[in-house]
Amino acid sequence: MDNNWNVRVRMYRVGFGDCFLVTIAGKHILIDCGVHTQSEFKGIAEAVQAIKTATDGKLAVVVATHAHADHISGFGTEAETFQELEVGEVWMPWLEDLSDDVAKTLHTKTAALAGLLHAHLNVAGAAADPLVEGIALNALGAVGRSSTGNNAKALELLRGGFGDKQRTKYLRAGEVLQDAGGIKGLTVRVLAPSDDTKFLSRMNPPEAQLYGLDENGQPTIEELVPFAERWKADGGPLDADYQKLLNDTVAMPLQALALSVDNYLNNTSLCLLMTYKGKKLLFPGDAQWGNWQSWQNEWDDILGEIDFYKVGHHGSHNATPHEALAKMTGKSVVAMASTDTVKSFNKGKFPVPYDKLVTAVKEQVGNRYAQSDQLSNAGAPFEAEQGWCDYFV
Amino acid sequence: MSTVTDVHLPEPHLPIAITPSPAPQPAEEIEREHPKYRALRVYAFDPSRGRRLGNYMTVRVKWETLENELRGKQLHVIDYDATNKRYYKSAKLNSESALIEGGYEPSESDPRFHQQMVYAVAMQTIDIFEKALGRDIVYSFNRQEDANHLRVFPHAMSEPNAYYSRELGALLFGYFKASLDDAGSGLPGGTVFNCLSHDIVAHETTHSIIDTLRSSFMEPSNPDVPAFHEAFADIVALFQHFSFEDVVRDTLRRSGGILHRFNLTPRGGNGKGDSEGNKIFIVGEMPEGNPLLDLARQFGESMGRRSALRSALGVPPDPHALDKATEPHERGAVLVAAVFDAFFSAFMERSADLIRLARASSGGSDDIHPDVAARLAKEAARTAQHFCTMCIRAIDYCPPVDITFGEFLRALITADTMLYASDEHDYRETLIAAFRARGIYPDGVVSLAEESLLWDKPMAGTPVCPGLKFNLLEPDHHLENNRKELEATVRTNPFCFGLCEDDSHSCSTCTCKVSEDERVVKSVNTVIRGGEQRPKVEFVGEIVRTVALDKDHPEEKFSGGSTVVFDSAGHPIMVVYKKLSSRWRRENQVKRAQAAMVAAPTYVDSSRQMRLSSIHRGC
Repeated sequence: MDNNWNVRVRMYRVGFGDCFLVTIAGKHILIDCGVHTQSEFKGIAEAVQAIKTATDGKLAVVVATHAHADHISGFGTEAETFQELEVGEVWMPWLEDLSDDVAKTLHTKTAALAGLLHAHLNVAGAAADPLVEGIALNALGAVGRSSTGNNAKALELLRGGFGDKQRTKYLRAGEVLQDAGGIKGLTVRVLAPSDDTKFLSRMNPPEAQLYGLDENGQPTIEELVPFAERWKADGGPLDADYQKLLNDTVAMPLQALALSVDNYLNNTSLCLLMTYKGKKLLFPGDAQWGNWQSWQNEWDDILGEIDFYKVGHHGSHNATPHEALAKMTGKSVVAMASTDTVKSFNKGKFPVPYDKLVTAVKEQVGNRYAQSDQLSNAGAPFEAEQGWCDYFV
Repeated sequence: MSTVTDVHLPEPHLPIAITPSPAPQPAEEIEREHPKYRALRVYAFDPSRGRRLGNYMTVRVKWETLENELRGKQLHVIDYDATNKRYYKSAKLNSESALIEGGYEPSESDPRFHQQMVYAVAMQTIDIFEKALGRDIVYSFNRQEDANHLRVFPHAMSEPNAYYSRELGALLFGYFKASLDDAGSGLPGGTVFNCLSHDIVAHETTHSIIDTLRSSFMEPSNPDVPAFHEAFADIVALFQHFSFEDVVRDTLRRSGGILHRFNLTPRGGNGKGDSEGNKIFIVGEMPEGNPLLDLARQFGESMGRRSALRSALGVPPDPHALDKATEPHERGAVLVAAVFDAFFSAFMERSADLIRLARASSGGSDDIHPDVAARLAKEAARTAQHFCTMCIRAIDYCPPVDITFGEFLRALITADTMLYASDEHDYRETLIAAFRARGIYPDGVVSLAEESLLWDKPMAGTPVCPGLKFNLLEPDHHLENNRKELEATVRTNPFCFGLCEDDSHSCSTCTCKVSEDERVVKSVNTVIRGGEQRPKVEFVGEIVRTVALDKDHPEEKFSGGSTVVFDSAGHPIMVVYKKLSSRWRRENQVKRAQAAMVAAPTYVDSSRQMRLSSIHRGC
């Protein structure tokens, strides 16, 4: 490719996770760097090495859209490499700013719920629901049930601004950054997360106590046997099939709780609109409905003009509103999805990526769609290499 | 057609229950074969009220043989805990001590009492429906084994919830830890059992019964449908409060006879506290909420909400209430308030003389004479029973699908008018006024006069169904025969029964065919009318057909049909249409389907049947 381009978007093949490098005028913005602990393919270490080479060790901006392992794990596992890089700024959603009271309250609550889900896995043993397990591990960045998780380490590095706290900016909807990250001519509009109370009240996860957490957020799940041991009976009249159906039905609230934690974290996603020399790129993180809804009144103005869409949430069923997709009518709009197989997600009703969504995206953008786990299929206008795929805007 | 057997007809406004007169017995055999009732102890409300007056209550449950501990004719109580994957020991209600002592003593820590309580309250709720409808409630679930039993799990899961599941054919009650910061009158962090709340058990049992009577009411085809399910379950639970004699009497004595007052005068004083600053220093002087008006109080409080859940009458009537309320519980509360407004108004009307007497003798204090309170309590119990019975009978007269609150009002008026031509106690008048005050109007009626609210005459040309049979002693005897007869009649002219999709057809031009494998007649019930007139027998047919909503929503269903009343000779005399040809209904449902897709912004195939559990979750 000759150098006749304004923006290069490079999608690394990391597995089920996001890692995008946006290059403008010789400067680099890294948007997310993580992989789900249950992803079958894991290419984060290779990706970070490749980034180091491609950027000459200099990143103008590091963006962490939200605190899920599949977006930030690399900042933990590859912390040593990152320490060697020169980082200009770090952008995170304001909901990760622990000096903000509202953010801190929500953060504490969600962390406690994630802890509860994780503790549940140990109590439930092999009977644990795979969906709950996948969500709990992703929220903590934990590899297995007993491990404590890597997200905390990654967040420490990010909040600490790679050695200088002052470098970290917490962004909220409505902010507009001119010459963002020191890149002349780059305008970044923050579309979400909003700090509107209506948005926040919809985000609020359920009361932890009702699910067996004490006032310190410590799980009390093993104490929730309601009767003394002497009341236990040896057996009863239900046949195995019915018992299983009942067990599955009853497992749903835990699933519901797990999903609400997952939705919460996804909805904290930074949603960024980057504009450079008239070209517009939309990076919504893993935003779900509540997040999209919070800037719905701007869809008409924004979506028709975008040139690039990073498909939300690895192509899941619940992260790209079809009305929004239908409004992406730009002639050369391109979509890229970073995804892979995660068994726990694919056992359920809505595998990720969800075929109906992928079909809908393809109908909207034609062949200008690339998926990180199928790089060999990516023809023009993409340029695929071993381990990544480029698009030049 | 069989002949009318000589039976004793019930008095006006009393539940119809026809029992064959017992055969004369030799003097030495006067001992009954089995008892009529089984006495069982329950909480009138829930454990949080402790031993407060009337909360420990013994109820008389219709006798039935219980095999395998708690398995009767309709219910099977199974104490399996799916969260902890274990069974708890079963109650033995046939043991000598249980039979003599009214079962187990109320206790939160003994699961056997919990089983007893869910059994007793669910049985009573079923009994209320059977008495009102004059026929048995027959469950029929989609499972191989034991399809006719509603399974009841008093400790199904660790979750602040309770629900009816059609897939499981079961009621599931949860248990959970009460809020630590704000547990109301309960123990912070203590375990709360939903199966020990009289209201919750009655509420969930009612869901299961309505689903048996009108299975299409689980399809949320308009916003009133899910709200109706919730409201009706609350109505039946609330009316049961007025049969708790001790509590009603106590409430009357502490409210000056005003049953609907929210706060009761404290037993320990006048409630004015320290007379200078009006500060209250002791518990005995604190005003107490009216227990009759609270629903599932412990549940609400344990969730950390100050006021009890879904109190029906907390707001003055607002004719625009329904415009704002979209969430099913919120919307349902408007219907509950309308019904209870009518009930309290009727009660005040009926007992105005007694209340005046009470006031004259009490010298301005709320505390009315115990004798007057006892009379008033009887009056309240009777009025409550009448209203509850009216509401239940109205279900037979509801449209088969897609009900609205306005149509429920029409069904109420129609059902009661069929039974009692004159409105002796002005119940119907009172109901119409209360519904109007909350902006509940039926569509397509010219006025709110009683006669305009009656269902319409069938369209000309509606075929007669001569094969319908009845048996007064066994109303259910001809069920299957009648269903087949009506099925055959309906097929001769689908248009007249609202089953034709094409609105350009007419009764005489319709050539539509209903395919052989479609079963469109869901039920035909025999209704025996005693009332004021000569006894009459009628049949009510529930006719439904379901098609795909439209091309864009092939997975969404659209249902239509009619409820038709036939006289004893099979002539159609009254009908409620929900025509399959209605463009307006179809368009509204398409809009709802589209809105649902936006609200849940996904590529998910929407599941058509609402889950009552999801409505309850987090309520």
